[in-house]
Amino acid sequence: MAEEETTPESTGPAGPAKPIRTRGLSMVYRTDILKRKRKALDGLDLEIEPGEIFGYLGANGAGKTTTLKLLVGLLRPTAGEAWILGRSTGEVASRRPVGFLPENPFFYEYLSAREAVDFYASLSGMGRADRARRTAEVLELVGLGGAEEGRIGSFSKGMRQRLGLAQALVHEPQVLILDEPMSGLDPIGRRDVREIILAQRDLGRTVFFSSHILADVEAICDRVGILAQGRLAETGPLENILTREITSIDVAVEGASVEAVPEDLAADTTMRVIETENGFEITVADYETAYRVMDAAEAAGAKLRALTPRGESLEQYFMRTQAGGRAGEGAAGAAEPGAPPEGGSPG
Amino acid sequence: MTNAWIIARNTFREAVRDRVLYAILVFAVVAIGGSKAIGWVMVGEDIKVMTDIGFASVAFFSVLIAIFVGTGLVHREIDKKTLYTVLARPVHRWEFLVGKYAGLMLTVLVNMAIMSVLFLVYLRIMGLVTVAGTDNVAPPVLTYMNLQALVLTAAELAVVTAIAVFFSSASTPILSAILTTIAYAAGHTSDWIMIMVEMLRPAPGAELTFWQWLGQWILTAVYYLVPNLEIYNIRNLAVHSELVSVQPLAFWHFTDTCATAICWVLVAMLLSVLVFGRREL
Amino acid sequence: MAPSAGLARRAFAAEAKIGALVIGLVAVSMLLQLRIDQERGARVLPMFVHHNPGGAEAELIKHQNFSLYLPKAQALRYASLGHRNIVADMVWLKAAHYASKQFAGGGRLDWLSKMYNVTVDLDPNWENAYWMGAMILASVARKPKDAELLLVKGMSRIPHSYKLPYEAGVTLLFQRGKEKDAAKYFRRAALHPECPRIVLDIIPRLLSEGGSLEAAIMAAESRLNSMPRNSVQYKATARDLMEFRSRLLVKRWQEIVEAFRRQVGRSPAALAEVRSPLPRKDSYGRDLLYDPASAKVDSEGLRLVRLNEQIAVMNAALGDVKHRLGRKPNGPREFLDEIRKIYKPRAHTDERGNEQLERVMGRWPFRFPAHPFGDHGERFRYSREKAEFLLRPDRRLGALYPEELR
Repeated sequence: MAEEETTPESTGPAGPAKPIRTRGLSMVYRTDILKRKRKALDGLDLEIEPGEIFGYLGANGAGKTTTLKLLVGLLRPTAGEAWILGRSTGEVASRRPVGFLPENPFFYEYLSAREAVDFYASLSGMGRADRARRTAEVLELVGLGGAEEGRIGSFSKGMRQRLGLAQALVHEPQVLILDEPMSGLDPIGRRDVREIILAQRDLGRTVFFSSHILADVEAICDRVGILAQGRLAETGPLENILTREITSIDVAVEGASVEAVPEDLAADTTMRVIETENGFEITVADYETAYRVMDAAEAAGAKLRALTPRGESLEQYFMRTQAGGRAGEGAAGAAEPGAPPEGGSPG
Repeated sequence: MTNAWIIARNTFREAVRDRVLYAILVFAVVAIGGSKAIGWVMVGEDIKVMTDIGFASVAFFSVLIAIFVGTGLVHREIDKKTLYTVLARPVHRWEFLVGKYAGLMLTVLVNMAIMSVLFLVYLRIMGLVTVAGTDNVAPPVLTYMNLQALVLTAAELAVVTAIAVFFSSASTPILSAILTTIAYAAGHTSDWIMIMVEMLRPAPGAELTFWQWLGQWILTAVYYLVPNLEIYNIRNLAVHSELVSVQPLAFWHFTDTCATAICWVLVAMLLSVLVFGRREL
Repeated sequence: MAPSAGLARRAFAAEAKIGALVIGLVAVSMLLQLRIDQERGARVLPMFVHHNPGGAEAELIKHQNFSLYLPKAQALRYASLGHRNIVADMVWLKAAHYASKQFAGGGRLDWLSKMYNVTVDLDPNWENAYWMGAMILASVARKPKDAELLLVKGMSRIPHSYKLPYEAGVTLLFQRGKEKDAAKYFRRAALHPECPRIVLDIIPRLLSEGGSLEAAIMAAESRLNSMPRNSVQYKATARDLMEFRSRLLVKRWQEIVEAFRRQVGRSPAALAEVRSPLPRKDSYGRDLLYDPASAKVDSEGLRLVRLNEQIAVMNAALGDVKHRLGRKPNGPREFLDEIRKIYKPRAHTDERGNEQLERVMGRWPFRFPAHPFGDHGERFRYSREKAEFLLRPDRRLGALYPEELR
C-alpha cells in the first residue's frame, strides 16, 4: 500500500487555527481486564482546512468512529493530541463550536422531538429566546417540521437520523463532526442531507464526516481521507487520489469494423471489445495502446468518436487498497445505506 | 453548574414518564391501604401495625425506586448512546453525573413525599374512625418525631441513590442493582460488625492475641468504610412517640446524622466522577 | 509514541485531587460516625471503651433458650434490614396463633415465652407486648416466672410505665409467697402520675389480701375487663376465676366443718348435717365432696380440673418420649423408662405440672392416687392409635366447661 506523505507538521505558530488538527493520535483499547489490547488508531496526523467538506473513509474496524470519538472527547487518546480550532480536545470548552452526530443515534425515548432539541440547545449554552427560534428552524430544516411534538420512542430510524442532525446543527456550530450522517435514510433523505452539508459549507463552516456511501462522498467532498487498520493511507482531493491511477481508456470508433483492431491487441483476451452499430468500442490499458488503436482505426478509414480515460472509481480504489490488508472482510465500500456499523468501541 | 441542573430536570422528566415508577407507587399505595386489614387481625394494636407498615412501605418502596431507576441510569445511556450527544457538548462528565443524581433524587423525593402524605392522611383518618364514639383522642400524626423520621429516611435515600449512581457508572444494570442491594443490606447490618468486634475481646485476664487484634482492626475498618444506614432509622422509635421515654433526636444528633449523609453522598459522587471519567465510551 | 504529556498530566492531577477529597470526606464521616454512635448509645470502638453487658440484662439473656424454630432475636434483628417493627409484629401474630391453637388442643405452650421475648427484643418500646405477653404467659400458659421476667425486661426499657409494674404485681400474686415483691411493684405503679383511679383502688385491697384467693379473684376479675371477650386470654382467665371461686368455696366449707367439730366435738357425717348459707355446688355446677373419715372437703369440679391437668402433663411428656424414640412407645412401661431418662426439671416449665408428673410417674401401674371420696382411683388409659393418654369422656374438659369457655 503506497504511503502517502502526510501534511508536514506545523512546528511554528500557524496562521488561523485549523478547525481540526491531530498529531500522532493513537488509541489502544483495553478489551478486557486481562490487558489484551487492541490498537484501533495508530499515529494519526490530520489537518482539516476551514470551510471544507472532508470525507473520512475506511473499512469496518479501520478506526473511523474511534477518531470521531477522540475528537469529541468521548475517548481519551493513549498517545498524541488533537485540537479543535486551536483548543486541545482535552478541554471541555473545545466542544463548544462542535456539532456531533453519533452513529445510530438514540435519544431519550419519552421526550418529544422539540423537547429533545431544546434540551441539547440549552446544554450548548443558548439563551431561551434563541433556543425557541432555532429549535423550530432546525427541525424544519431536517424535515421534521410536522413531527415536533411526536414522542421520540415512536420515531423510525430515518426520523431519528434527522433528529440527530437537528441536534448537531441547532447551536450553529463552526465545526460539524458527523458519523455516518446518511445512514438509515432513503435516497431522498440522503439528498437532503447532502444539501444540508453543502449549505453549511456555504455558511463558511467545516464539515468532517465519515461514511460508507462512496457515491455521496464522491458527490460532495472537497477532500477525502482513507483510513486502513488505524493508519491514514491516503488523503487529499478526490481527483488526486483517483486520477493518479488511470486504469483504462475507452476508445470508441465509428466507421470501422472490429477487424481494424491490431492483431496483437485482438488476441489479448483481457481487452474488452464491443461491437457497436457502426463501429466498436475497446477498452485499453494506457494511452500508448489507445494511440495505436486510433492510428489503426484512422488507417482503416474510421473516425474517432470518443476517447474516455477512466480513473479508478472510488469503489475500485477501495477494493484494491483494502483487500490487501483485510482479506475476506467483505465489500468494504458496499454502498448500502445502513451498512453494519464499524466496530469502533470494544464490548 | 447550570448544565447539571438542565440534565437534572431532563432526568426527572424522563423518569416521571417511565411506567416502572407508577407500578411501584401503586404497590406502595396498596401496601399502605391494606395495612388496615392486617391491623384488624392484631388485637387492639391496629394503629401501631398500620404505622409500622406505613413507615416501612415509604422507606422500602422509595429504596426500590432508587435502585430500579437509578442503576439503569448511566448504563442505559451508554448502551443506547444517548450519552454521546450530551457529552459531545461543552458539558463536563461530572456535570452529567451530578445532574443525573439530582434528577434521580428529585424523582425519589417526590415519590416519597406522595407516599408519606398518603400514609399520614390515612393514619389520621383511621385514627379518627377508631376513636369515634369513645372518649379517647386520636393520636396526632404530624408529630415532630414522625417528621424527623421522614427527613432521615430521605437522607438514607440520598445515600442509597448516590451509591446506585456510583455502581451504575461502573458496571451493567443488573450487576449494579445487585451491588447496591448488597450495600443497602450491609448498611443495615453494619452494627453487627461492632458486636463481632466485641466478641473478639479476650477472656478476662487473658492477653490479646495477634489474630484477635488483627480481626478487631479489620472489622473496625470495615465498619467505618461501609456507610451505616441504621443511623437514619428512627422509624421504629417514632411509632412509640407517645411514651415518655421515647424522645425525638436531640439537635446535634440530628444534624450529625444529616451531615454524615452529606459526606457519604459526596464520597459516592466523587468516586463516580473518578470511575466515569476514566471510562471509555 | 509517549502519551502527550499535557493531556495525561492534567487528567492525573484532577484525579489526584478527587482522590484526596474522597479520603478527607471518609475521615470526616468516620469522626461523625463516632459521635453518632455515642449519641445512639451504641457500642463504640472497643479499643477505646470497654462495654460490659452485665447485671440484670445478663441474667435475662441467660434465661433465654431459643428453640430451633425461632431464630435468635439478634439474627432476626439484622435480617429485617431495619424493618424490625414489622418483624416484631409478625412474631407477635405467630405467638397469638400458637397460643390459641395450643390452648384449644389443651397442650402446653412451651415456646410462647421465647416468642414474646423475641418480639420485645425486636421492638423494645412496645409496651403492650410486654403487658399482654406477660398476661397471656401467666394466665394461658401458666408460666408466671416467665411473665415476671418479661415484665422486668419491660420495666427496665420503659421506665415510665404504670401498666407493667401493676401487671407484675398481679402476676406475682398468682405465685404463692411473693406478696412482698408484689407490693414493691404495686408501689412503683401507684407512683406513676397516669395510673388510673381504678387501679389505685384495687392495689391496697390486693396488698392486704396478700397471696389469698380473694386477691387472686379480684385480680382475675379486674383483668377480665381489659380482655376482648372471645380471646384466648379471656377464656383462660375466666376458667381460672371458676377455679379460684371453687377453691374459695371449698376453703370456706372447710372452715365451717372445723367450726362444727369444735362446737359439736366430732366431724359431721355428711355436709347435709352442716347448716350454712353457702352454696352447695361449686362454680362448675358440680357437687361438693366430703370425706367423713378425714373431714376434708373437696369439689367435683376441682377434682376434674386436677385430673385434666395431670393428663395434659403426661401427654406433654409423651411427646418428648416420642421425639426421643422416634416412634410411639410400646406401652406405659417403656414410656416410664424413657421419661426417667430425659425428664429433668427445667427452669421454666409449669411448676405444678412438674410436681404432678413426679407424683404419677413414681408408681406403676399408672393410676392417679386414690381419692378419698371413692373406693378406687380414677383410671386412665393409653390409646396406642392416638398415642395419647385419655380420660373417660365424661371426665374431660369439654364436659366441664360451659360452651363459651371451651
